[in-house]
Amino acid sequence: MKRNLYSESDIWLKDEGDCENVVISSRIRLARNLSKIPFSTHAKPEELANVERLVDERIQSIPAFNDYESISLHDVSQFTRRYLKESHIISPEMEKGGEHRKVYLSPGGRISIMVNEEDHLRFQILAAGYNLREILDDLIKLDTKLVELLPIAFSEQLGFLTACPTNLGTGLRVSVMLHLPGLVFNRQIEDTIKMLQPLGVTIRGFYGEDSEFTGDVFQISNEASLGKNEEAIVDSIGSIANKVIEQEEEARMELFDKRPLIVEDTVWRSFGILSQARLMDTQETMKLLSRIRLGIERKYFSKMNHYILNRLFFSIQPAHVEYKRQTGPNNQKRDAARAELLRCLFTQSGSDN
Amino acid sequence: MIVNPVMCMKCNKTIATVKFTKMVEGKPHEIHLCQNCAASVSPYQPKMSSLENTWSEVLSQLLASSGSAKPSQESKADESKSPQEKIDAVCDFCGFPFENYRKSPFLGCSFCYTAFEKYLINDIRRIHGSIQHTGRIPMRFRKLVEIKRSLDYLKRELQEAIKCENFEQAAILRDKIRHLNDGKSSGD
Ligand SMILES: [Zn+2]
Ligand SMILES: [Zn+2]
Repeated sequence: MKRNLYSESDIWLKDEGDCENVVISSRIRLARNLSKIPFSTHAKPEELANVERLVDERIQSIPAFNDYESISLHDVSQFTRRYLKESHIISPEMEKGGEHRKVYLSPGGRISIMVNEEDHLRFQILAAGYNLREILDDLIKLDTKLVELLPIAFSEQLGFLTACPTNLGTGLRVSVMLHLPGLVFNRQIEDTIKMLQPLGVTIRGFYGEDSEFTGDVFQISNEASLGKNEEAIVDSIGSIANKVIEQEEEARMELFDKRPLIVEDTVWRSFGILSQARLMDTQETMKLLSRIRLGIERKYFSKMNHYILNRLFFSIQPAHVEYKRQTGPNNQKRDAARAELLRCLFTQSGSDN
Repeated sequence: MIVNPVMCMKCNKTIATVKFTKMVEGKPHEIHLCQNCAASVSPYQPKMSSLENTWSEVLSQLLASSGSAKPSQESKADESKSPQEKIDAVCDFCGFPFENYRKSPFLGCSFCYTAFEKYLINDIRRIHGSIQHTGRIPMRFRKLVEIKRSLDYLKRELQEAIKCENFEQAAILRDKIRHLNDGKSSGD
């Protein structure tokens, strides 16, 4: 690795975004395939190598990509792949590694281009907070640069052709990661999910896969990618996200209004554990951080803010802790290191380090 | 129809009439249930006890039973009426047998979409609620797409003209279509 990949892949999280009290991050990705080469799921090794070569040549010929880091997922360790997955730079599928799989990463980690995921090319832009329109603009510019000179598989009727028919058309998936402790606390979350289901929205946990809703984090994304254009898909998820944000804000208001003592107690209990415990696993940490994040709304912690908490959701993940404290893959050592990091942070009542 | 009638994945006794599509690692997995079992796994049984209780447990249960899933009953109804015979189609370009698509959600190559169009089109409509792309078009396809869309339009107009016995107009439209067709073949 030429640069420090580990510290750099999370820099995008430090940017400020809108609605940061509810929205942790936004993401849009596009799926593209080269014509006349089988999809990566069915391609032979030499065909995967061919995809890699074509994309390499294309990317290396464009000055705008000069400062991108090229990471061969086959050559790096399982640990590095895990770290990148935790940072949402690569998909859980890419975490498995495999020959001719690669990711190009922009400085700061905001933009990544995955090669030979299930589609030949999947590129995404991440942003802290709510930021969909800006991401889409940049992504379309990237798409133009990247794919105009490549032989892309496209049909007039079905649009961009993808390995799985669920990504046809625009090949676009937009997701907004929301922190919804108010709705969960108030037990309105089921109603919210019920409201979302008929709207063509997929709801997932922190890792976007089958993950649990750890830390009251929910990702909503579009189900259909064919039939509407890019702007319309992004706008519709945007307005749905806005509706959920509104509901969450109302829920928090109601909570602080009607059950102030219970909320206060829950938040400070969480603070107590975070600032004293000696062993903390990821699940429990996410759960407690969620409550702290709720408390920030009421300025319980003068030196804490939503951005610090957003970053914490990422930096307490296993590979992140393992990297920071060089614990090695030992669960107990890692839990102890996580607890120590949290104690440090919370006993200074939230100074940013 | 593409999918065989499936037995309920929970009780294995009755033909499934409700289908959920659940996203696992970004890929759709289909869960087939009979009417009874579908009702029994309904995600909205209030199960919460105390505030301190694990919210995420209840919620992940909700996800496990249907969370991101969306029942689509309409397509299932006629599938169960017409048992699905084996389809022997194979993609000329990549050799992918269509039967494999029934086992995993992936196709072999971009030409598979042409090779299996008639078998896939209902699936695509069910997933997206549409079978017409309206988004961005790569530069190199723009000219062709423009021509194709004008042709489609003119053909509709032509049919309309013939139906109304407006033969003068029909002749003009026929010329325009011929002209566009010539341009298309030389453009390739
Ligand atoms: Zn059953
Ligand atoms: Zn094929």
